Amino acid sequence: MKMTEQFFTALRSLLTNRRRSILTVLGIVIGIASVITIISLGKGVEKATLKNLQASSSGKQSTVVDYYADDLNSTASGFEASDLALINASQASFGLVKADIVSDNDGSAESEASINGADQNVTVKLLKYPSSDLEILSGYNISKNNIMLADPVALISKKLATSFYSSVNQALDTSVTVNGISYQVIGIFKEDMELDDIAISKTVYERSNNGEAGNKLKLTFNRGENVSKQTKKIVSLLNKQGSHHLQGSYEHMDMGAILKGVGSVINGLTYFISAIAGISLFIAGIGVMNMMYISVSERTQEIGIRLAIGASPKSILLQFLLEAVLLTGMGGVLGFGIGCGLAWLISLFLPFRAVVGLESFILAFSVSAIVGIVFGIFPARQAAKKNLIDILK
Amino acid sequence: MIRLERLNKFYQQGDEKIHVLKDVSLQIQQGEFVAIMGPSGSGKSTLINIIGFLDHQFMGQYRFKGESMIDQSLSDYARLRNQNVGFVFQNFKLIANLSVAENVGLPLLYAGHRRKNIADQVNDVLSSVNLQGVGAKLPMQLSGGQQQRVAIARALITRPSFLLADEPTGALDSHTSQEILKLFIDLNHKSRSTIIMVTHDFQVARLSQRIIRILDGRIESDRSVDQ
Ligand SMILES: Nc1ncnc2c1ncn2[C@@H]1O[C@H](COP(=O)(O)OP(=O)(O)O)[C@@H](O)[C@H]1O
Ligand SMILES: [Mg+2]
Repeated sequence: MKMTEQFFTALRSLLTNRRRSILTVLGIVIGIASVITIISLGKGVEKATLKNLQASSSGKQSTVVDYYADDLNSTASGFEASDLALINASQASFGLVKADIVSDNDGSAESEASINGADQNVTVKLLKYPSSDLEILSGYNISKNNIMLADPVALISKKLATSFYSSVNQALDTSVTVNGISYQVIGIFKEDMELDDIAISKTVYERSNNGEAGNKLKLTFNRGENVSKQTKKIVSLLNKQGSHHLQGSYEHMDMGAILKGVGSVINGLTYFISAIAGISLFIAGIGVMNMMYISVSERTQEIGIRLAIGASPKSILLQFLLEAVLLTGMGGVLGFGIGCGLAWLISLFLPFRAVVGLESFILAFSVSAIVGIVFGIFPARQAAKKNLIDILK
Repeated sequence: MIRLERLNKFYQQGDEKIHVLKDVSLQIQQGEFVAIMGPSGSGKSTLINIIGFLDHQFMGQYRFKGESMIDQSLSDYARLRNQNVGFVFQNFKLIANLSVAENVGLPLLYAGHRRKNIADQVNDVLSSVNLQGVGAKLPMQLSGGQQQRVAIARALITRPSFLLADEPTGALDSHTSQEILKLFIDLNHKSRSTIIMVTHDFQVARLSQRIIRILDGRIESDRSVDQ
């Protein structure tokens, strides 16, 4: 019989006994799924660690210290010029190249502004590129040119404009001062969900902010420095003497250490889970063998008929072996799918993403197929060895 | 076509060796319709199983189309069955979870054909046994006579050298038996099919051309039927 026909014949018998097939293959699915889950997580943490290390191999390495105010509503900045002075005083002993206060990465900052002679705390939207999200009610949007040339131009919200001027148009072409730099108001925008008051170019703002204030401190170290140790020292210095150490805390999230920790946990788990999965696959294999033996004895008549009309013992053997391999192979593929889903779900709660490779699929498929061959060969041989005369009596 | 010389067959039962076929010699030509008669346990099925390449353990000589069957391998036997013999059994021997068409087409799959290429052949052979339009049904959904006709269709589909029928009407009522026998006679007359049929009913055997009587493992008589 042609191989494709053998394949369909085997598939068909499996589908005839659907429920039994599914129950039998469950152990394979669980075993493969758990191995794939842990392998994908292990690969994920490996990749993240590698990326983390690569930053250092390129030479200078940097870390970030964050300031968190105890009062969540506070708009005060945690880092000031005095903090830079404090750190720079012992710059050499920290192995530091430089320390910079940077604005928050999320593209907005809290700042003091002076509008029409009055002071006001405002939320500033910092643009790296022109923003098409803003709906301009009057005047012009900030253009690419404005940003490239670092023009001190600003857009203000309609709410801000109307609270300081008698009309929207009155506010156009006036100036606002943010962080000591005066910006020309070139447009009025409609408030959006993010509740920004003013939009200005990020480059201009950073320049003005230089050494002034912010909630993030970027530390750049010399090559070969133990950055996580040095950063820890700086953090503890800041928490003792920093400008705002009484109103909040300075913290550093050490990605390298976190990844290392998670990585070693996953490594340990990999052995444990692989061992359990191995046992699970072995037991599942015995289940497959048992089901195949039952199937062979239930289908004695069918085997006899097939032999009588011209099946060779070899093709009977192949049919039953294919049934076993197909069963476990499908279990392996299903387990692979479930494992991928599970790894992805778990990595939502971890600081990296799971990585699934083609080799994981090949591993899942070949391991399950091998289980099928190993545990299917004996029942299949029994099927092929049946005595035709006895069956047909 | 079929030539048996001093065929002997023993069955081992515990410590005992039972001598089932004793010095059986016979020849059957292409196109013959032979009935094998004898009481139950006389060795008819044993003989027919050897003729049909189901049983390779015997003593003596069996030549098929001039070729000795003695030193053929098991897979040679499988191929001989597939290409040369059409079996019809007393209890039909259809595979229960395959459709009628799949049952009928199965010998062609073992002959190396593809499933998708055999539909026409299956339909043709089903209509030749007057079973149009039942291909999609399961064997269980048919009557006994219809199931036996499915089995005959399956036996015919590879255009075998001969048909072997072991009490083909044993499980059927007399009316249905007549229909099946008529089918055999038609096949023998119109298609010149060689048919070897085991029966213990003389009324059935009478319809063939030649009756071989077996008693206790020996050929008791071998004569043609005068019409
Ligand atoms: N597999 C077997 N093992 C032992 N004895 C058998 C076997 N098959 C048949 N026999 C014996 O061989 C004899 C002939 O059997 P069989 O050919 O089936 O007779 P028939 O078909 O004429 O009724 C019987 O006595 C039977 O008991
Ligand atoms: Mg018999």
